[in-house]
Amino acid sequence: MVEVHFHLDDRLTNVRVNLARVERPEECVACGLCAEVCPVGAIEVEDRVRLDEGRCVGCSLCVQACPRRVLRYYELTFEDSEPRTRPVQVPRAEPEVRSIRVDLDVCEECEGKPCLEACPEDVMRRVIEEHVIDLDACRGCLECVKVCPHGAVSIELDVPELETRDPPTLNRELCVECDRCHEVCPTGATENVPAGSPDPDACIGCYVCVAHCPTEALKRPDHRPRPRRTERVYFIDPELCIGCRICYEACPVGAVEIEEETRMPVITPSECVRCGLCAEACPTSAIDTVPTDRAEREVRRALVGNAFLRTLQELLRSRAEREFGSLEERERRLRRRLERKLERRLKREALRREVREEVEEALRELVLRVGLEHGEDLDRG
Amino acid sequence: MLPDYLGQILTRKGGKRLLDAHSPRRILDRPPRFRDFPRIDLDRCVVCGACADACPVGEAENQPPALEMGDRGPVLHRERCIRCGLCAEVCPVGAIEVGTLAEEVKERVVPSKPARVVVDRDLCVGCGRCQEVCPSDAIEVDETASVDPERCVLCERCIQACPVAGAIKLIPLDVEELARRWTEHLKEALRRAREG
Repeated sequence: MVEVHFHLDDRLTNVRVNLARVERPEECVACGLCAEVCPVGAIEVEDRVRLDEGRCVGCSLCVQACPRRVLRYYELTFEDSEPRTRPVQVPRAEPEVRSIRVDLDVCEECEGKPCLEACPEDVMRRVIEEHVIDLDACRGCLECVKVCPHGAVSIELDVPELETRDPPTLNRELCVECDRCHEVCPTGATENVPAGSPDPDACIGCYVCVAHCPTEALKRPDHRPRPRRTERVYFIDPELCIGCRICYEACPVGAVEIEEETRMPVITPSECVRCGLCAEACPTSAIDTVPTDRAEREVRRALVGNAFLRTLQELLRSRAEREFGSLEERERRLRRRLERKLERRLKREALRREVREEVEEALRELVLRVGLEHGEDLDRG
Repeated sequence: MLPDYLGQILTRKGGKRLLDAHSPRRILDRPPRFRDFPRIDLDRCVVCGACADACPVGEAENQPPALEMGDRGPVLHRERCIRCGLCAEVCPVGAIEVGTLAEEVKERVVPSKPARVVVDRDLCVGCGRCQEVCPSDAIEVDETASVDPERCVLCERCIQACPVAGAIKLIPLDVEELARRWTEHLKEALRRAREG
């Protein structure tokens, strides 16, 4: 019998797991929104939020809902041999205030009234001094609840509108009907696998099924091919590159980018899947593998060079415009005159001569004008 | 009266035959359907193991098969070989020859496979490296690669050559085992990530 290999490390390279973490527990005012939106009941709120990381599916709903940014969202990847965690931005929901309750009897005895200073919208001052509750002005930051020394302020928030990510897509060819997705899905959205992709209405976009699928039949909608663990990456030697952009056309994953100013192709190491199609296509053999860290360094240098060129060009242009007035009008005029010359179907040699004469004349004119203006400056000085 | 056989010996023709029987003779040509032991060309062998899988010897008797995989290729144990020729039939590169078998058996024997190799069309970038290394020409590349399951011998060369993680997958028939192993592997990785 052939020994069947499972290639689990290859599979692990493609795994991205999301998780929420309690980042600033001291900021929590126990409003309870996170527990309310959590689809798996992994959050308990007593006087502070408590997140059960073992049960969390990483759907990001609590992170979106929290008005005080107590929670933070992370992505865990296994691209290198070591797992790497990095924070991910999620849109923060706009909290909607249902009611503000203040115990005014307690408030009168309070000396410092720290809520007045803490409130960014002046809502608390109006409540306490004018007895007016302005729900529209309140942004629901709950800063007043946080600072009140007597616990006299309570604000009720509505469950805000939350964004869920798109459901994963199913590749029917790869599905082995192991039903792991059915077991791990918190909402039952994967019930129609393998007949079709998970139900978009029920799916909350936690992608737990994607991580648990043993054959990667389920994928995130934004998946992209990743290289296997390698130390080397393809790199375009700028000394040899002639800027023909054949590699740009050849790259199947769009890892080759054309720099805006230098107009030279550059391979982004993190995007490159090391397939080598560019190296095969390159007419000058300018592309070869180099150690990844060296490639990253060189690419950064190319980016700096590109940015430098652009800044230099912008600076020169703005300098020139200040000196000579708007260059665009002048350029347009010159171009129009040259086009008229083209219409006359001159011979190539004659055309070249005429163009040179035109440009020289325009330059002479410029120099003359600058000389005049500077002359005036001198007179005035 | 002499018995018949003696009478024949005493004839001129019979005497010659008797003489022939006791003198060195040239070895006869092998009959047209004679089947020798398999001859293995280790230079052409890709060490895929298809021959060892196909060998029917010892399956029932709990014995080792007549062909076993070594580091450089299959090793033949002549004392067990029954010269059935299945190994030659399944060899993807024609490194095994058994007499006149190729003409004799028209239908190719397809051994049952414990897994299948599948290309993930979402991940394949169509670079064609797998096609270059495939010993049995089972892979065709057109936008993305595709594997002919009949020709595939599960040598996993394509998986090793593929630059993209998980673009070519070996999916065993034992799905439960696969799911179990992956779940364990993932859990272990997550546990390590939490600790580190």
